[in-house]
Amino acid sequence: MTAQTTPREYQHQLRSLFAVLRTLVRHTKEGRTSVEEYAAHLEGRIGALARVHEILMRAPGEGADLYELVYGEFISQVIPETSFLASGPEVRIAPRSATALTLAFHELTVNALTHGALSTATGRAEVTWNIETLSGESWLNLDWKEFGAGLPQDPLATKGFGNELIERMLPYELSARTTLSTTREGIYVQLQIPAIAGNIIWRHAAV
Amino acid sequence: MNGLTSRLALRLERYSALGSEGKQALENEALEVRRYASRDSLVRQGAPAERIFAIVEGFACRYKLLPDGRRQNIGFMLPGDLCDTRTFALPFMDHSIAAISNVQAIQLSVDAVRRLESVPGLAQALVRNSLVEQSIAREWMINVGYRTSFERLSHLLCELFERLQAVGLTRANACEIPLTQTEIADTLALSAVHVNTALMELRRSGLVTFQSKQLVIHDYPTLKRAAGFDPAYLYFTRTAEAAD
Repeated sequence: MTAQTTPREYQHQLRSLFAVLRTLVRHTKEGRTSVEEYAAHLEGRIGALARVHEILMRAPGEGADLYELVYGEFISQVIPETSFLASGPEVRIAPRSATALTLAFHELTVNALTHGALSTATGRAEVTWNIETLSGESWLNLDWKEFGAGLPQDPLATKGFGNELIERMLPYELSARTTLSTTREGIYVQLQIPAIAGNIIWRHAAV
Repeated sequence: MNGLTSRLALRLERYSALGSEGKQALENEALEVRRYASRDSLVRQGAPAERIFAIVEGFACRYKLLPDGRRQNIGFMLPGDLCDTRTFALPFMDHSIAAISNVQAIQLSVDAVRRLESVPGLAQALVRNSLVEQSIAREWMINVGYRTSFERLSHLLCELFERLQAVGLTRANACEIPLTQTEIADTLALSAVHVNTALMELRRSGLVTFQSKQLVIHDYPTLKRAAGFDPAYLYFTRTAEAAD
């Protein structure tokens, strides 16, 4: 998280953006039955990507406010304020890590809307986080929890892009330890993200 | 009067006389004071309002998050500004408040606000304070809905100057405004490019210079006319002199 972006860094950022776009276009094909469905999912994912860039560009080098990433995803899907909770200390996610995390929230939200708790009238999704120090290292414990889905079966039986993101991309991009499970209530994801893993992943913004 | 509540008292005294009882009551409630670094949240959209804030020093802004990641600034909180005291009546915040510069803010609980409202000298000033927050919002609605980019920027600069002057934070025709062009753009519903153009136009016209966060107004009467700025909506009806 540096204050200035040099042209070389900018070029690097653009390259990685195009790489992410390619990945999205390719992965969105999986399990789609119509062009319309494909286009809608792709547009949603590109929208999430555009949003995180908007947030990062406002204050380059500052990182993205975790609350804004989570809350932004919920309001972009027009989920009523009473159906979700986002709560935790002030945390800034480094630009590199913010994209992967935003896409993961996007997949979880869309999944909850189509199969999970947010597809029911009374269901809720809660994203809560806290900071923990374990043997001198700071960890961000981030939970996604759904309530009231009333699921008859495992909604992630078809292993999709969401699983890929949480089980493979987040461990790779954020050095996160992830667990993903399904209950009758909906999906439950636990992420443990180190503050520093080679690069800075996140920082606690509070004074 | 201690340093923490002096600007809050100055601001409220523009509406009505607080008396020594009112000023003492403000001091008595200024128990919890927090510092925020630039960009830290004071309260977030969607969270319950557990306390309201009085700014001691620094600039904060109110904003709403938009679904595509942009934001619209819907108000500034300057030193001496106090949130609408009725905020607690709603179950959650419909907007966020975040620090723009380093900020120091007094935290007031619902009980503290109730105690302040029961002090005769303060009750009327607090009601006016809340109503003026809305009056400013109405003026901003006109700003983004009706005025040209040049007028919008001029109007905002006039308002900030008047509000800072009310709490003794101007020196002659100059004051410090710690806003970036991006923050101004999010306030005026303009692109950063438009803001830059309007700023250059203002400088060329010789009305103001705004550089390194220092605003210098060279010709205030003409600036006010150009902006269509009439400070009546701020209701600073009592003069600084009358406010002892």
